[in-house]
Amino acid sequence: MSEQEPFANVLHEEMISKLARGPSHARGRAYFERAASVSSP
Amino acid sequence: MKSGRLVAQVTGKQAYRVSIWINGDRLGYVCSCPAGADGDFCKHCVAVAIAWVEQPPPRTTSELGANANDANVRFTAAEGQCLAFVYYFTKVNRRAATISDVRSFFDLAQIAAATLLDSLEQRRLIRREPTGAIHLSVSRAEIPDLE
Repeated sequence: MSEQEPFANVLHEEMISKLARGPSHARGRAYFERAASVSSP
Repeated sequence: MKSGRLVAQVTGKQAYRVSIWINGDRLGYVCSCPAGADGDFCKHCVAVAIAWVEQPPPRTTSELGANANDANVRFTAAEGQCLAFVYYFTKVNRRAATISDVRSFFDLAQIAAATLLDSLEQRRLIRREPTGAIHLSVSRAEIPDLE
């Protein structure tokens, strides 16, 4: 369908949880949420 | 996204460069931070991955299919195939299609099928019942043939 599709098949929350060790998941989410709140109007 | 890779810069104490790509059915990743140098899926990789999962980038014109330059096009070629599937599935099976049927036919992961159907529903091209039954909200004339 598009080049995004292979990513959608592999890159999802479950995979992120599987790969991120220790506090990396929570810290990464904090990074994302901080960036999202800055970029939102 | 560039050449099938997610490339981003994440700024913490310093700016770190993250690259994520598909390697078969696994993810390849690298980050320029110390943890990334050790091969970890570090917090910067996590941030980029979550950003992609929760806020996928809009499709580019080249991804929209052959009719992308037509201002009247309401859906992509791939979405058109999904609509055509829902139409023909309902006709042949005398019941509405569900996300399981869409996943099975197009061999999609749950999240990919859910994203596709959410997008169609948000634009009112389909509607879904609480049971999961999918109904078309577009006329047959708008739907392409199922390829």
